[in-house]
Amino acid sequence: MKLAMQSRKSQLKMGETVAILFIFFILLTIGAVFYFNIKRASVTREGSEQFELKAVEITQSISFLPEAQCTESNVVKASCFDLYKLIALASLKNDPKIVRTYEREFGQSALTIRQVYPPGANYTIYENPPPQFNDASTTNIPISLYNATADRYYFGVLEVKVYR
Amino acid sequence: MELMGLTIIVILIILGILFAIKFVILKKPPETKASFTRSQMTSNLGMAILQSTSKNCKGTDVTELMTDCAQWIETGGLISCEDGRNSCRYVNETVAWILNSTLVQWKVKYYVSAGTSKNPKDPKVFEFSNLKCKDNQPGNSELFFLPTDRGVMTVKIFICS
Repeated sequence: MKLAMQSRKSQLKMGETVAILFIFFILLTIGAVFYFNIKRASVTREGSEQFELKAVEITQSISFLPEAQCTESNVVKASCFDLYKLIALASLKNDPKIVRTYEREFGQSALTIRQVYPPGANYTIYENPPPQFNDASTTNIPISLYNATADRYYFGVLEVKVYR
Repeated sequence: MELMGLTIIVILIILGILFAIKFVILKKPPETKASFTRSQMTSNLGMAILQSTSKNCKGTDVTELMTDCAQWIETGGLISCEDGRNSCRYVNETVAWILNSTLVQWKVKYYVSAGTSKNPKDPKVFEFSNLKCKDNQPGNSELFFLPTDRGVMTVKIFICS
């Protein structure tokens, strides 16, 4: 009789321990799922931040590209692109050698300069899209375009499209 | 005793979740690109507009037309362009056209103005705004100063954040 009572008590105790362990593991699983979801969101956010920084870096690089900048007596003019330099660069954009040269600087992106006022042509000076891309970030920066032969400045926009 | 342990674990998990919500989920995303674009836009927009040569106004640039308009604002400006428009009308329509082709299309909130007087009731060379943006709101601004016979003309470019 005493042995049977002791055995039932032990069974009850073991059942309790198993139930507590079960609840503990459920809570641990929920915690782990929550943690990994947060970690994934954080990694995605860091990825987009890096992508945005890359877009800013490319925009800065093109803004100070000597091959496109306006100069007067060797003095560089801020936020100004020489129209004839752009025409020359646009004519070379499909040359694989040129694409390879600029790939290190501009990566997988497209750089277009639009003449807004007076309305004029668009000049795509670099285009290197990946075969497949999920997203593209576009940055538009107002600039001046200088026509050296007419000695006129036009209002333009530098459009930087970065693919990922 | 086991219940005590379980309670402590639950409390720790709740604390962990609250900590994660506070520092990971509610963390504001960095606006590196937005802030860079805004600052570049404000400075470059003013420079590019002021430097632009008019399409059909005797080869004058926007700065000359604005200066003329500010000096003779009551008569609408002395410079008369090829198409018959005077400097004030020409510069107003040109700046409006540039803004409509760029910032309005990109849905950027802006406030752009130019004038010589600090009194807001006095006539301005031009004043444009988009999406209820005002210069007292948070954002980036850039000022350009042009000398005229009526004092210094201030061109204000303001991009709301």
